[in-house]
Amino acid sequence: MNLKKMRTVTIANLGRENQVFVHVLGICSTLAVTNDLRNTIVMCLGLIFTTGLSNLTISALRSWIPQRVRMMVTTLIIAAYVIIVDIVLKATAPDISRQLGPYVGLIITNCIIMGRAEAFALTNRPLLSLVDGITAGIGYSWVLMVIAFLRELMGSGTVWGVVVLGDWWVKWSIMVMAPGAFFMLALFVWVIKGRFLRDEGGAK
Amino acid sequence: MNGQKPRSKGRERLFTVFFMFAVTVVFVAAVSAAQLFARDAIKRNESLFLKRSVLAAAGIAVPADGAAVEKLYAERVHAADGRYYRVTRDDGGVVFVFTRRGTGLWGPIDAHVGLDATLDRLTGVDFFAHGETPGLGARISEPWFTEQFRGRKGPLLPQPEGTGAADGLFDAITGATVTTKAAGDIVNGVIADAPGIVGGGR
Repeated sequence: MNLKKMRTVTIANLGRENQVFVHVLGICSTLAVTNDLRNTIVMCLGLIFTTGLSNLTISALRSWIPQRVRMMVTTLIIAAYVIIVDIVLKATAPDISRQLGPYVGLIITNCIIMGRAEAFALTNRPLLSLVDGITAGIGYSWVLMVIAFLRELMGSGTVWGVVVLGDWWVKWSIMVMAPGAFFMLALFVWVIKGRFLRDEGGAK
Repeated sequence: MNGQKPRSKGRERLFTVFFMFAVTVVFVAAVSAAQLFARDAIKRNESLFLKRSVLAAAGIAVPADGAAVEKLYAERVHAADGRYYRVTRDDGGVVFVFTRRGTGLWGPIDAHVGLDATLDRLTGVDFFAHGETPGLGARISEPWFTEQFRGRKGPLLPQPEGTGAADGLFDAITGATVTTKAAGDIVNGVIADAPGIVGGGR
């Protein structure tokens, strides 16, 4: 029974309930870190780690957390995990940490984490919440990776830093700058909603 | 809700304060522990990063291994009066490496610039801290850009990408005009100020 629930949650998080293109949460980082595939993946791993563990912790504490201070408690827990991610990155992968700069710290303000904590972890069992957090993170990650892949390819002619499009390719500089992120995200949501989530979108 | 037993108002408030306090103590302790464990590694990484940068600017091949970098740095580099480094080259010649900050598009750019004993020929440039746009301005830290300065005589003028391979010129980065200008200003600024800083130390 529990397994069935986990599957439902997973499928919802990857598709129909996706945090990025359905709930439109976590857009800030979607726009900011997707001009380079390597940075995006580190960001995604950090986010999956944080949503998973913060959901687990908050769910485990849910019957003790006083209602009126629940936001404070949630933020505190999220912040602790994010700082740990930041410290681990600085100690083990200094180059990537330097490139991501302030964005790792900004995971704290990612709406997805707070959203999952409020909407799911406070009313569900710990294990299910862990699965929900991780799959919400994966749902976010696959969207970001698709966007980053396209932006890096068109903007720099590379994938994962390796040149794939030769000299004949005129680099679309705008794709690696901020406006490119807006165009790409809008196109992405348009395609997904228009092509795959059509039935639902019209009914509302 | 959430299965909390009904309590009197006073007790509930007390519990809230106590709970907040306990949660804070636990998580701050966890973060502090992580920081304590990683502190030395972080410090080592940062200092190693700067040492690599100085060696690269001096035109010395930087070993991949951390311990080898430390050893080479200790043998070759002497910090003279805090404003520049005196580095001994492989052939015994002297190189001066200067630290300089310039203004990029999004924030400061920090660089190490190496000059040989003539003080106008570059031995290397390394932009070790910047916040430029990834894919555009951030390309100043890529080898194709930094390597072009090696052995070039300054001051330098930026040229369209692919046409600046001669003394007095350098390749600009297409799409990053402000960053290119900042890089040029840093290098030319060092060349202009170097005689005054090094003075008799030559």
